[in-house]
Amino acid sequence: MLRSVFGKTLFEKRFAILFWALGLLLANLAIMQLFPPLKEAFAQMTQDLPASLEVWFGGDGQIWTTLRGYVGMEIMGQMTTAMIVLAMVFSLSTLASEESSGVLLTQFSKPISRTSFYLQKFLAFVVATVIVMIGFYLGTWFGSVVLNDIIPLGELFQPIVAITLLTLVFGTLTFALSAASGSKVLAGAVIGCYAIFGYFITSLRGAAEILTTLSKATPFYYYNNPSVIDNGLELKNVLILAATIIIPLVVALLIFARRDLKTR
Amino acid sequence: MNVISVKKLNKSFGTKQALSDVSFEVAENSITGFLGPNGAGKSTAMNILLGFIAADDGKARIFDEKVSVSNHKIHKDIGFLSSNMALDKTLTAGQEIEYFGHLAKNYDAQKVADLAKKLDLDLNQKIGSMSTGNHQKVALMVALLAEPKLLILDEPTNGLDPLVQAEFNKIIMQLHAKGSTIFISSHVLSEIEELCDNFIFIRDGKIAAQLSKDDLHRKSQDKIVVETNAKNKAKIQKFLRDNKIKFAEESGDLESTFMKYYSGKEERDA
Repeated sequence: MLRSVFGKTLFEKRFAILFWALGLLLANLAIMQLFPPLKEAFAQMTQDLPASLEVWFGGDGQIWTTLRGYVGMEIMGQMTTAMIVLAMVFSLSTLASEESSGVLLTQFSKPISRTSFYLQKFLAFVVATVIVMIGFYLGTWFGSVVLNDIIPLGELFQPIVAITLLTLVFGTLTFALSAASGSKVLAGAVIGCYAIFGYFITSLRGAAEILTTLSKATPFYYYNNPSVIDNGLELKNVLILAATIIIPLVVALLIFARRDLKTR
Repeated sequence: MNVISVKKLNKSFGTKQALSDVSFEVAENSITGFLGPNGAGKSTAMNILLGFIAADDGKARIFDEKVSVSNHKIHKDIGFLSSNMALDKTLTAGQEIEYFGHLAKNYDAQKVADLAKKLDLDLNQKIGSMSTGNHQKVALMVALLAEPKLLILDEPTNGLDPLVQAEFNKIIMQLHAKGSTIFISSHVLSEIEELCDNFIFIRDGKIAAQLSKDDLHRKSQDKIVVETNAKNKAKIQKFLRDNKIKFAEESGDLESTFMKYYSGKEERDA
């Protein structure tokens, strides 16, 4: 594990990865068990809501009457906040923290190129995220098994890919901004604000025309629109999310490879 | 042959000019001391040589290869150690050294074990729980892994007790005997004087002087040192003043030379 930047990064994060994977497995398993008691209550509540606020609860009261609708709303909706926190924590701890502590300089005193270092760090972040998402995936599936309303793993795969892409988008934006600027505070603050505003704007986009327009500037608009669990992934949306990962990643690499590192 | 060659190097941070037309050379297999007070530009120059930051202007070459933030290949022959060398606190000393050994593409477990024994270092101890001295021993091992042809040391013995310092100096001298070039900055002038055969003085981002040990001694030999008691001292001082002979009450060692450059006295004398 300690033979490369990639291996060492995963080795250092092994307990955090395990904690997050196990935590999300149990969290999703527990959230799934809330479906039966919440089903009727929420269905009734959303029927009584004014149309302008229905979007906040999924846009259709009927969505709460099926387990798939519940997964689309709760797992694909509310759990994204946890995934964004995960993405930001993981990405900031891979490169930006090492620059703040000065470990980056010790590593660059050895014969390793900045490009190779940057890409290995990013790859480690991607692998860590994917391992955690396996816990997320299995927790959701086990939840449906326990409820005896099994959603096949194959059917869950595309929604999990969508939420993984969203997690990677926010993780990459944080990673790229921190690598380009050398400031984890700046990266955390800017991307954190973008995520919070993006989430609310997209959640309420049905309420006003301006919000619909603004929501198109956020990754939330593309990751589950239309509902992936009902309609599958849309290629156009996947490409937009992939571009939102690749473009900042490359631009930040070009800056990181040339800029002055933080020296103490 | 020069291992390090720096010509008209300039670097500024905002409005502060950290280096201004800095030029110097470090000869192969020399031990060169890089001297200056805090903020003089020593670390900035070393950071440029190591490719951590880029110069605004000027040229720097190591082993006749251009130094830049993108030229990582020259690092295979360079070891670097600073007083505040950061290491991963979650790893043990052994894991840390193994990782850096693989980065340097020169990991030899037996060599690591031998050096750890020599330095009395527990490889199973976590870096985060180590004393300053042991932390610095790990950093030294990381720097020495590849038996570097050039060792760049930025105030390496800060915070070390005299025993570890002595051990450290011994290792530096052994490395030098094997043919390595040492470029070292330090505030411990007596240590630098003992170790080095060349001295570069930097002040306010400009090179004030570059002297060999012989130059330093020659400067010392320009003086007559008189040891006397207080009564005779006054007589001698009067005699010198009456005869308009310039004199100073100081010794001709590195410390006095250092003080000369940094108190501005060199300029006044000139």
